[in-house]
Amino acid sequence: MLKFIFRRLLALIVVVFGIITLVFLMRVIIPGDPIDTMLFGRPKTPEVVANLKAAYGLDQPLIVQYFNYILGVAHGDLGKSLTNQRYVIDEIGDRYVKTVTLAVSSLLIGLVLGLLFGTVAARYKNTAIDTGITAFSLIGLSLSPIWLGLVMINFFGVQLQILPIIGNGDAVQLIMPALTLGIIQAAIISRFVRSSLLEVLGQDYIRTASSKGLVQNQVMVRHAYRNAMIPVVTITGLQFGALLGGAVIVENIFAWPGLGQLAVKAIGNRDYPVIQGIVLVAAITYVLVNLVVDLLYFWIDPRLKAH
Amino acid sequence: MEVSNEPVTQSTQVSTENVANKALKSVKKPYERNWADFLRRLLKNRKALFGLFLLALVVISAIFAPWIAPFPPDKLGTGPRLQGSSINHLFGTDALGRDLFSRVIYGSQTALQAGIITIGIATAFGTLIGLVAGFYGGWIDVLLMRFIDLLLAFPAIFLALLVLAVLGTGLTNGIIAIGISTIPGFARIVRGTVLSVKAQDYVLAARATGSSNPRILFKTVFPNTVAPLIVLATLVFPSAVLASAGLSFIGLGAQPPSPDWGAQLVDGQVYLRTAPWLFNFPGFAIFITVMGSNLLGDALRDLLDPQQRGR
Repeated sequence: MLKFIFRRLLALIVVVFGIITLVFLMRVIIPGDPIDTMLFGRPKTPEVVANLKAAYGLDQPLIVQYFNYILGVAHGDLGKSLTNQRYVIDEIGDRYVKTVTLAVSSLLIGLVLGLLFGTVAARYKNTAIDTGITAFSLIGLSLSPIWLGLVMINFFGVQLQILPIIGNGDAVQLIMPALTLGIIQAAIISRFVRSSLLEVLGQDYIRTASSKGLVQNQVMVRHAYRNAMIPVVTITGLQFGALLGGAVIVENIFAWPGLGQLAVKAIGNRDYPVIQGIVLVAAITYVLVNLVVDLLYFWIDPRLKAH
Repeated sequence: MEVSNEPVTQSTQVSTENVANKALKSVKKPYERNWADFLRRLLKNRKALFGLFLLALVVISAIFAPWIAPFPPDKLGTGPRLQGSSINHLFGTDALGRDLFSRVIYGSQTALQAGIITIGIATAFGTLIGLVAGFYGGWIDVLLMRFIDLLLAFPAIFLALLVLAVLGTGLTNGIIAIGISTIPGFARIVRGTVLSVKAQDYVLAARATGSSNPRILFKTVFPNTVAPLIVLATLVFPSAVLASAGLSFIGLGAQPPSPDWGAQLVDGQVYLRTAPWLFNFPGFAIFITVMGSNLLGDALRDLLDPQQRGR
């Protein structure tokens, strides 16, 4: 197990280096001169250009720039924004926390609802309850989060007036965006829970447990759940990437002050250090979440520890 | 199954190769080689029929838009502004007096484009990378797959944002960005299939009769990847439609006055209080498209994946 964790961490370092490299290379292939963005229409004299290039280290050979970038990232320095000269890490900081908060809250809602409905559907397989849940989950995963979000604002914010339409990034404002992404997530997770449970429930040891006289619910909890959870945990880890991406879109509906609006603005301004920073932190977060998922397997399936 | 020493994507790999293997098993069954029989069974499936019906609505709207839509999608002042459904304007009008029904009908064109071009890009590049990596193996395989693993480390939308930052915004670039972010999944599944096909006797037979590598690759190995690719395409199509609408909504994809559904939702947000039809009709149109392809995809997976059958 320790060997696995060690190899896993080693692989993580390699992947993170790869991510940093790819993100760095984006600047090399990006068309247009970053100096133009910085000048913002001011006169472009050779002197000014030279000064700016020196200030941003753009006058150095590419390989030196690359090492400087890696060194910077290692120190938490992602460069400065081209539009307002603030440090990218400061621009991202708070917004990153907000986006991750939204993604994690949605994931929790999705997991609770998904496990609940998935289990009920599997327990009452081929009944009206199962059909109903399956239909609802199909509808849920076909919904555009934008439409669902707008419908929610219209219903809870305008008609019922129980939730604020705008806010300042507090917990109350989090409810609607988290529900929007959470409901869609629940639809996806419940399908996995259902099919995974049904697969496990078809196994011999479940039949043994049932024939020993255990009540269905006991069989479900003691024997089926743990085994059924492995694919569910896997899909949850992979879905986290989709949630981070979904958050970026949904933030723009609810004016949730996360990375979404910053990303849109930065792409519009061709402010590449900010875009690089956003993509970098998102990818590293995603990779770390999947590291946690891989380690969770040991807890779910003790047999793995022996290997 | 090959064990990856890159556990970040191990789970993805296991799952995609599972799909590939399962779909492959079904391909080998003689009755499923028979496409007429396959089609007959597909048309007996209620899910598939309903899905096909919904998709047909969208496809017909896209192809016959000029005949179905009562007004050109950009024509201003076709009636009173911000008016709800009426006989003259089935879906009402927007703030510029444009006919929403016409705009929703025309919007199906960009939605279908997004889905189809995404699958095209992902199939073309993903298949090529997967075929070459799986078939030749060795350092080519290691190199290509490490690159694919690296792309998989980026959540899809963020990879798309990176591509958009390089290419610039707009509908076409948005679709290209979504397509590129979909390549890794296709490459992995094709490679997985190739690895399991490579060991089969008929590949050996082809080699024994003196077929060249490219010939074996495209004539013998490639046809086996078709079934798993169809399954993957049905998963990718709806998410491409959603992603494209998402990019347009945040202003990075289709720009106004394009009748793209995602761009229409922006108007819906602006007039949220007074004109809910502005977001409900485009939202419902996206729903129909995605639901239709999800239903069809479910049915195809049931048919191509015998282990899932009867669930």
